Amino acid sequence: MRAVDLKVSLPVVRRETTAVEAGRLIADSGLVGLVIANRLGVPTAIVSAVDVLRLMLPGYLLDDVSLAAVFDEAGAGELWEHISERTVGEMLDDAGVAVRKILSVESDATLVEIAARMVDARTQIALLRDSPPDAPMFVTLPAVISAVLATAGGAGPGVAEQ
Amino acid sequence: MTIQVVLALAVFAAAYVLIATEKLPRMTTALGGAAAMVLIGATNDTEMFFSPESGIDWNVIFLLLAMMIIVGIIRQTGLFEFLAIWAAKKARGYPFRIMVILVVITAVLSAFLDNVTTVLLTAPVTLLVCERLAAPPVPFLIAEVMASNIGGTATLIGDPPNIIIASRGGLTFNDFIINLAPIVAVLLVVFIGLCRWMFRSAFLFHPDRAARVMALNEKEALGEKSLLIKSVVVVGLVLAGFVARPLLGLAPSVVAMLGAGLLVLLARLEPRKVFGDVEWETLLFFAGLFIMVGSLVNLGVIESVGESMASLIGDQYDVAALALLAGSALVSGLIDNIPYVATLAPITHGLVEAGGDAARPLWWALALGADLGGNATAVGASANVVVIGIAKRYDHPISFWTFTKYGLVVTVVTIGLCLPYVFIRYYMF
Repeated sequence: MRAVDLKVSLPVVRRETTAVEAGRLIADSGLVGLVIANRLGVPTAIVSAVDVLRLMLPGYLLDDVSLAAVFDEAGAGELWEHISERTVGEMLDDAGVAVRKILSVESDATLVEIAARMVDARTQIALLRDSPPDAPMFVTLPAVISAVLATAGGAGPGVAEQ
Repeated sequence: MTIQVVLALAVFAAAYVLIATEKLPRMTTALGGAAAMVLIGATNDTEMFFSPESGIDWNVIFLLLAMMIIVGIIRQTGLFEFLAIWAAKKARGYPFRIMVILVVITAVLSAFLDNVTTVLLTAPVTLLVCERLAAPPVPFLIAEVMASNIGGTATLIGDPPNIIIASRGGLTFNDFIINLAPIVAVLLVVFIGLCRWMFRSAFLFHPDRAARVMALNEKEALGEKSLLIKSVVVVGLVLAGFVARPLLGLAPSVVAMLGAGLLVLLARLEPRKVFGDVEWETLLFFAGLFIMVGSLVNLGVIESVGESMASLIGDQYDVAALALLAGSALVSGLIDNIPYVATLAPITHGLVEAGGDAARPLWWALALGADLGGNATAVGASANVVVIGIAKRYDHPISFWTFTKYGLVVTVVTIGLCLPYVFIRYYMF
């Protein structure tokens, strides 16, 4: 199995994309991360879904997690009011967010090569290097794991006995 | 003056400039300076690691390390967050009352913790309370960092310069409490009055916003109860160990390391949490500084400066103490007070050795000037820089001049009160 066999199209966000829009993409599509494009629309970076969630929280709760427990239901609800003001650009500028340069792989890269490169880069999404710039294609972590399991016979010994 | 001395002074001056301008990380500068001192033959391995006069002051390094470990574990308890929110609720949501309570809590905490740690602990909960109150957080953050610089002055462990002074001067925890805590208590009361005047526009009371503070449940901030109890007990033992030095004969560094070890043993936390708050860069910065200053000791530079100052002072130690106090405040407002005190400590030690009891208040003048001078400007103390960074991150930027205009007022008033304190207490009668 090659990279081209696993390719999918993914939504791409930019610095101006709001936290609401970014979050909606993740919630609706079950994405594990988001692809970020530069001003020219070229995919350049990846952020994980949990970092998008980070964007939605007040910063002081990130610095001191124990404070998250002190709100009652109404108080907690008020915390989300500011989400619409936040943008992906703020997340990219946050030193606490691991923004990873996008990993690109050849279309003919083997499954093991893709898997090894994704682990090495600690990224959930890889760009197909020779896909068209106006319609970039990607390989995602769930697709890679699914392909690995299928190639390995579908399951480990414990599952095979069932 | 030999070529070696000229080179050593050049290295020292260059390191000071680099630390003041922050062109390089201060640890890099200090270790680079130390390496240069070795290369020019101003020190060697025996002097660096084993000399009490010109080597790394391991008492300082290990006291800092131990306190960082203890604080790192206590942070897991949620105690500080509990106290701050509890206090805000006691103030019924009135902004000035909340500021007063936060200032007092910060100052008291700061007397027992490093100032940077204190503001890192109090800043998030302050931002939360201000958001609930719809109050501008900048006045609260500035007030807290200044309170931490004032409160840290009171004890041996409150501010890193005090740890250096204690070690070089052979001063005890009780010496600091007896000599500095009384004036710090007065300064804190005056500082609260200044806050009322300086930040008067920040204290608008909104009943509906106050209700949002009252709705917070501070008990939820507390973590595991057993860890809280163990932490409080161990901190109590450590403080008792500091106070009981005359009986136990244990140096503060040893007491703190024993306490840290005991707490690590009892807490059974993963290493990431135990050592997460240890600022290795700060410890290496101290080590580099000690080597650089020790090199000047080896070359006789510090002794020469001390002798020159001694002949200049004569027996006018009252004038010397006041000049040292004011001068230290001025210098500490402009550069990091840690390298300043690391340099001045051996010089002061020489003066005290020569002058006896009459010269002993020079230590307190140095501590008061260096610690309180840190409030003068945005770069006067590490805690100021940290709070300004936090404020910027949360879209409440504090400009250099915004901080400095308040800082100068506070420094002039606090140093203005310390001058008569030192004169009246030590020289008038």
